[in-house]
Amino acid sequence: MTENAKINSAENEKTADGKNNKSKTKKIKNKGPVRIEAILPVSTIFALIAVYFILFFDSHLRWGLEYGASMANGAEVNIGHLRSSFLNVSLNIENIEVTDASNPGKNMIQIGEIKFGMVVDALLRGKVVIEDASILDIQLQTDRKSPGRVYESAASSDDGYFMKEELETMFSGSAIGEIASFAQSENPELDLTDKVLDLKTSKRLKELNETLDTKKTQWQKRLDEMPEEAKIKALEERADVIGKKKHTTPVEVLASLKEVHSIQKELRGYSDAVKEAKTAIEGDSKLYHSSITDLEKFIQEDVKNLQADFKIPRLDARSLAGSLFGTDFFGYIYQVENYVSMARSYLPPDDGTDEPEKITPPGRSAGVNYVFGKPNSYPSFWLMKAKISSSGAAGLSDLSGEIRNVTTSPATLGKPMTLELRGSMPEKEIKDIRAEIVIDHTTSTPMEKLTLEAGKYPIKNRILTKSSDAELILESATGSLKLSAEIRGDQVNIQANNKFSEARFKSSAKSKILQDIFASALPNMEAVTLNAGAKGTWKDLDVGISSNLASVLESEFKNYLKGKFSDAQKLIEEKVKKQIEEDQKKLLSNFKDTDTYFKKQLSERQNRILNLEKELGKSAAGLESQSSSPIPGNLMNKDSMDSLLKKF
Amino acid sequence: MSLILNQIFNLFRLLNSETGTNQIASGIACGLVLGFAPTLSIQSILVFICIFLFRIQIGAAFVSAFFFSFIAWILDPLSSLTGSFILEIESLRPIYTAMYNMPVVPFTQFYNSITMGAGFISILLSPGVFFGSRILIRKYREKIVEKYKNNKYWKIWTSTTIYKWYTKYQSIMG
Repeated sequence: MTENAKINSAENEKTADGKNNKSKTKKIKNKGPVRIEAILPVSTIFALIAVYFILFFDSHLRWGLEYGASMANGAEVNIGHLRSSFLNVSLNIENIEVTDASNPGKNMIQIGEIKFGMVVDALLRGKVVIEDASILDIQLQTDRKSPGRVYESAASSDDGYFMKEELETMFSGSAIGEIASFAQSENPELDLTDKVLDLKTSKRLKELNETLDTKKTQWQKRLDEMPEEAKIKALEERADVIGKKKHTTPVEVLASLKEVHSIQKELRGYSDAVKEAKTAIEGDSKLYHSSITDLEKFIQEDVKNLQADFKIPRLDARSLAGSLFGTDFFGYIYQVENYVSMARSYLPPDDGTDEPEKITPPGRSAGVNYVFGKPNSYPSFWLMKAKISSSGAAGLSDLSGEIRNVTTSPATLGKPMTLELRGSMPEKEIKDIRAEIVIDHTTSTPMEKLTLEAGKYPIKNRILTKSSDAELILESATGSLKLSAEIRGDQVNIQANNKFSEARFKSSAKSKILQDIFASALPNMEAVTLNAGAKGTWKDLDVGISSNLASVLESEFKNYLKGKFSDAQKLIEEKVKKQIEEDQKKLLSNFKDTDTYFKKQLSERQNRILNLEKELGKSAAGLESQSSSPIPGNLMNKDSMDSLLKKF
Repeated sequence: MSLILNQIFNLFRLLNSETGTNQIASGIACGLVLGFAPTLSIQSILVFICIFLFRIQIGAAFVSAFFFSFIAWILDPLSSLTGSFILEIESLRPIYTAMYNMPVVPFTQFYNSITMGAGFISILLSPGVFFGSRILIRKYREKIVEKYKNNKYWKIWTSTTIYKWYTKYQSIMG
């Protein structure tokens, strides 16, 4: 007999069958409506759940957090110890190590302890809200026991968001090394004699020739559309007839005058057409001529490219500064972009819809959701305030600060996330640190602002340039940094100002000239300044770097290498000009001929029309004076009068 | 899965026995509420707890929940209209506002017209379904099971050794 059959009550049986089966009622116990026998299995399940939470939950949560944080960071994140408490609704995480993706042997940040309690009311609504948290013993750039794994970060994927390649190209290479190699060479023996160079200018010349052919056809068409030769000639003949005619009666005078007016009207139409064509062709011609003038820019670009191809270094301060410090600034930009991208991914900005955050997942069918007042809608995650302190880290660092309003839904919260950090790191000799970060994703235009200052930090053996020909190392210096970055929507503005005081350099060069340059320039450099800026969008950043070290080196290089440099440059310029000379001349002569031909054609027609206009003007004036003068007696016969009256 | 199948087999055994009418009827009524409620909502969990805590036929509840969920889907437009009507009653607005701002309660999705309408209809119909099921089960047993048991083929089958072994096994294993 089944369990359900056994538990069936006697009363139930009576009503079901209408019979009283005595033998059954004796055997089967009268069980109540509650499944008492289910207590044991249910209790066992609850006990197992409790055991899981006591023994395994913390470990599993720690693994989950490690995995999630590692994926977000793009490099391994380790959590030393995690302790949760269901009674206090709190969490205690110890020894968090965040691997530096660019240097897996070091931790980007190491946090001694994070402890926080959650708001029960929010938890009952399925949300995590932390009112007050403590983040203790923060250390930066600590050594790892073993190198951390580096993952491919989604935020830094090559989606063409950031002009990484362009900047890398701009800052790659070693300008000093190139100069050293150039200085070392006896003479710039550029084998250009029989070489046909692939020049942009040549391509441009070809394009211009093709354009000129098209223009010629267009202009000829325009000329053809103008009044025909025969038509103007016919008008001239009609005007000639009037000029030669002797008028005997006022009727004839008036008729001639009418004819003159008619010719003038027709001529005005022709004149307008010629003027219009002339303006159009002349404008076109001017524009084309400016394209020919612009060829100089192409020549300069070709010269610049060839200089790079033949490794003739650029001696300008901007290129030198880029070569010496570009990689550092590029690193700043890359990091800012990476973190902005991450912030926008994890703290999504307002998508523009006014819908409040949904309390629960949508139902079976859509239906209509009624809103009863504004619910106490917490975001899915909200860290209201976290105090940061690292004063307890045995003198390693003395940092303190606060993080506010970290949330997964800034638009719902309506408050920006802020981070403030001040202090120093005595062990690393970094003093007067001040960091302020504002991430405002409350509107549809996200804004991130970062201000980072370090009053004093040590620099040791920083390689500025290193190649087989030359080496320049900033052996020791005391640096100070001011970095500000503001990203609003897709507009980026990053400024970095560095100063390296008490600078001591170490240099070596194969070339005697370069040794002299270093010996002359470097001892006088007590402080090196580095000012860099990047403005624009991530895809089109205008990067500028300047440094007094680069300026000093530039002037020294120019003093020593000016002759050699200009010789090489002159050689390239001459070669480029020689290669395009014939084509350029041909183009210019072709253009000149075409221009002259069309201008001549237009002028001839215009002059003929003008002459005819003048002639007609004179005829009209003569006829008008005749018609207004007293009528002579011999013209005033009766027939004439009758005829005139009939006409008018 | 084996638990569910076991419960469904139990349902058929119970239906064909002379006992457990109230258990099956209450299972069908609970299945009605389950079928009309959104999946994995607070109200579904409450009904599940009731099914496991009280002597309600689990198989009947699951089978009827499966069946009633189709009916609920067909009745969605009606449920939406009913729900809208209930949610728009002005005098109940303060209660809804309070519930809307309470913890846990919004997980019931009571503010959704279909959920509210379907919930209201299922609760309204559940006593009727309970008593109606009782009557239908009795009628089934009187009219169909009795007729079936008096069938000669059934009698032949019950007299076979296999059937006897089966009944013996059932009595031992429960």
